[in-house]
Amino acid sequence: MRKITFPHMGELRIPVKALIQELGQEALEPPKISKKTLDLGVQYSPEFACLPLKINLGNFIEALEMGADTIIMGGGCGPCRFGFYGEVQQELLREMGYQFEMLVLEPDLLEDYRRLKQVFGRVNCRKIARAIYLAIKKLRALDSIYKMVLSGRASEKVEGEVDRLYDHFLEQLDLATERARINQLHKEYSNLIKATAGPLKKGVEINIGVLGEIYLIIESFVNLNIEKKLGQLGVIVRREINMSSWLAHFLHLSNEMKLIEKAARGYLRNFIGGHGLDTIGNTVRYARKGYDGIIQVAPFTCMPEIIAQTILPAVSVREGIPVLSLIFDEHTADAGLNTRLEAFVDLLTRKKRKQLEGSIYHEQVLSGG
Amino acid sequence: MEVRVGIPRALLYHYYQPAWEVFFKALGSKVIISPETNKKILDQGVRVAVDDICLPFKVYFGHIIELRDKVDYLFVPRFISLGKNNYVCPKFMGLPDMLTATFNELPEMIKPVVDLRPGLRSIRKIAHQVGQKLGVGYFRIERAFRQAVQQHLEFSTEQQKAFAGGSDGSLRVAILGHAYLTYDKLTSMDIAGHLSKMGVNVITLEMIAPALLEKAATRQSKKLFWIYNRQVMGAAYHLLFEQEGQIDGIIQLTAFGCGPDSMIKELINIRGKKMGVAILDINIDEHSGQAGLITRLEAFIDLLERKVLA
Repeated sequence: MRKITFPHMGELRIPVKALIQELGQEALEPPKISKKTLDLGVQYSPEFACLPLKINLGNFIEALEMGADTIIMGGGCGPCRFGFYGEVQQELLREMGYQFEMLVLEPDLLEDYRRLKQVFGRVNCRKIARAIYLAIKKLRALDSIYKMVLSGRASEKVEGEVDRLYDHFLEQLDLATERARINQLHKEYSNLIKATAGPLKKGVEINIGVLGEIYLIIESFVNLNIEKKLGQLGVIVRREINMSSWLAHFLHLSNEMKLIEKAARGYLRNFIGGHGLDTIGNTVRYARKGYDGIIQVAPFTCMPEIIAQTILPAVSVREGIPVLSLIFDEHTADAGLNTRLEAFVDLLTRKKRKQLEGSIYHEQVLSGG
Repeated sequence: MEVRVGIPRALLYHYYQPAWEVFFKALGSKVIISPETNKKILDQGVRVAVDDICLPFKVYFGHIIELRDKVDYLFVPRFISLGKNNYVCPKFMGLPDMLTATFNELPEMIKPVVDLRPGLRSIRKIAHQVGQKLGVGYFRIERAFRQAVQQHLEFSTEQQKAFAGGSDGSLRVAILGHAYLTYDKLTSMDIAGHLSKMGVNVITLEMIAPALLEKAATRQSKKLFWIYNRQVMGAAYHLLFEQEGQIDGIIQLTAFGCGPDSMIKELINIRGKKMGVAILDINIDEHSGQAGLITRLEAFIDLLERKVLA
């Protein structure tokens, strides 16, 4: 039996593990991303490569040390650097003397199917369908519960309660092998999280949209838990970029992209790889939805996000929404990030209070009171 | 009155310069090209651009500032792809949008979309779009287009002829990097000039026929999708494998923050090591100083000379 490993990205490990196990192979989960993973990755990666490549490489090294013999990795055809990650990582790992097989999934489903067959051997179609179904089920439950976590943190009665529930949920979900169990877990925990709701910590509702590069958004180790920090500050985090939406887009099952393109039209006229166009388009859409602020997160030297970062100030002025761009690399530290987040949230809160007071005053004038 | 069209002497200008100039002149416009990059241009570019963008784009922004008051139109093509299954660096795709967002007032931009995925022939259509924008008639555009193509072909054969012979026994060193770095004297700190002064034969990738570059680049198992970087990679592989033993050293010239280069640099280094060819990495940003560079160059050349004698 093969020992198959994969890179970490948020809680993606849960559906991927389910998929590999259902297909009858052993899934070897790399150790949770830690300082050691980062150090290994940084040490053996090209100096100016973007952060996700380095962390992926760290994951692979740790997994190979644990005895993995097969790596599954995503691919692509540009123009973002991610499409060439697999190629570079493969050569670096071989240079370091590791023996393994790497399976890079390209946006070409037929070809992927052929290659997957080489790795997993002959598996009957019903089994494949079941595996994919289970993985997607887990993925959707995960994203759905996490969405509640993102808003729930802003109004939890006991500090940290929502996160505790979420951790339990992850544990249970990882063990589930039946879809009925997944449904049950989903129901149970969404009720539990709903029950934690008390008054808003800030007193006013502050909605911040988190946009930017998908890996940085999803992987809390590299973004230094930015969403949790915002939640603790009493902010409702709105974030639509997650694995489910990515998958829907990848399989052309959503018309989200059309809306984004339309919204971005006045600022950026074509696709620039990665999530660059999404960042611009969604900033416009969120501003029109009435969100209070936008935070853009991206790895240092990320090409699509640099373009977005250059254009965002103009969007911010014309659409009237405050934008904070945060660039992360291996040297980004907690303290500096906290200060910037607190300052940004303070600014938004003050602005919101002023707006609300203004509108009360306005009503009084109108009603003659 | 003649229309003044401004072309910034930066980025892709270094790939297509004579053709662009000939084309606009034949359309009857006055072509104004910004001066060679100088300290002032660099500084004003660095001031307006976001911190993290790579140096060549900062330089480009500087050239725009230099030109904006002197012209009626700015020529800022939006490059996307030069053929099937390839792309340019995404920053080129968003270039006109970045300019609009950065500057409040700019002359009108001529920003044709250069997407040649449907085939090389679409260049002609693009040329006609540009000509129509300037209000020039069909036949005149056609003539200008032909002249420009002719000029470009001549320019590239001219460059290939310059391939340094090396029969005189002096060192042969290749400078591999984007043309907008290699040929920009300020940002590259004139590495080519310094090497020539040291009596070294300099080879650049423009001196190798494009077909050879493309062929050598197929040595990489996954096709590299950034076309300009595929040329760099092809040049490196061509010199390392096809012309084995005929090259003494390679200088990899990259800009700080260049995404594609950060990936392929390592691949080239791995192969250089295997073939026993010395490679010097030079990474340039707005703070790079000449003194440090020259010391490194001299040390590198010393090393190569000793290697040849041994």
